[in-house]
Amino acid sequence: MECLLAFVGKDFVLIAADATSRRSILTYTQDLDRFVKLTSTCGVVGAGDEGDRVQFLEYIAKNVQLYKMRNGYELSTHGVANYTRRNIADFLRSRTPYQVNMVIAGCDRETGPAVYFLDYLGCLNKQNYASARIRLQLPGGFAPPTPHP
Amino acid sequence: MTERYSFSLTTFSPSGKLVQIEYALAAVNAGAPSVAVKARNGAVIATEKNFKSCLYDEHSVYKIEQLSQSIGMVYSGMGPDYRVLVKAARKRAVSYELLYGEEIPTVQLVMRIAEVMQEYTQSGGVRPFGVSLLVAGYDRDRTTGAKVPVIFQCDPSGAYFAWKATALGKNHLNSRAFLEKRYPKDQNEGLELEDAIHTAILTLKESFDGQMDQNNIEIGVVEETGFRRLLPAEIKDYLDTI
Repeated sequence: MECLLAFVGKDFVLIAADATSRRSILTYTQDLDRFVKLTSTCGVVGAGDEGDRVQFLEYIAKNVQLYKMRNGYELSTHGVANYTRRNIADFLRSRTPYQVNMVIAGCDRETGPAVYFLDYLGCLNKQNYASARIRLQLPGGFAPPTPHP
Repeated sequence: MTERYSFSLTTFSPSGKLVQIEYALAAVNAGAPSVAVKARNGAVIATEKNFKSCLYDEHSVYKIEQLSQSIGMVYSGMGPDYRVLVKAARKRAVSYELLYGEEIPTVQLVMRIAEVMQEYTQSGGVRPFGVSLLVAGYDRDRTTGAKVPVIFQCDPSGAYFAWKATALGKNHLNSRAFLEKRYPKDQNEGLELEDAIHTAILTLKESFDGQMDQNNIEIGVVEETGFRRLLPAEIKDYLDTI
């Protein structure tokens, strides 16, 4: 089961995620890097559909960078989180929804440490800690096989 | 009508000028005076409300408009053109909020408005806007991170400038000279908002024909808490102290 984790400290945030990519009894890799740096003070870890995760988070990261190029300063963590949620929400009711659950964490100079939970349906929650232990999401519902007694 | 013209009506003259823009600026300079002054703890925008008859209902229509929580705008030039830009600016401000969950920085809104104005100098079948805008807001300083007041001007060409204090419309050269004399040379000395409002009123008075009262001028103020238009009663209080 994939796991994402983040929590707020006094003047820092800690963000963590598992590094395993597997399907059923097959483990593809155990050194998967789920972390994507978005700004100098903010990053995200994602889990869910493998392809969607990479495509979506790269898209967000590049657009956040474009904002910096256009304006000369970076988006705040709050802005990044809302921007990401807006994209998930807009794509949800399109032909190409992205099945990615995320935990976004950042520590801005002005607003301090912040952690956001964002699920694949566009539910954004700002919390002191956030976690997502995720069942692999495939259409029709899929549960990992029960272990042998 | 626009579809029939795929070519721009704003074209270069042999000397390299865009004559339509020059004429638009002439329309601005013939318009009612407007003024903007930046203070240490806020900014003020003000304008003359030129009524051609005493039968006009002064408080039904406003020239100073709010674009977002902490951004306001005023103009010199053609009123109807201004209203198109107010509508466009508000839409862009709120689209930004929808996308990023936070208020648009003033400088970015100004960039988007200027983009609209520039498009009308390079598109088919349209003419440039006959207004220059003064936009006042509160932005986060890039280096210190602190919130500071800002004032921008937007021209019919799409050019935008940041000002400490400026004037547009009729008599703007004299008004600017007046402001140059009054504005503190030392940045750190800082003008207080109350003084800035006072200065703005005096600048308007320089070019005012007749008696200035709380019904024939409009004043808008932006502070850390946001932008608002002053009530006639508040304007009267300021006028009484002159």
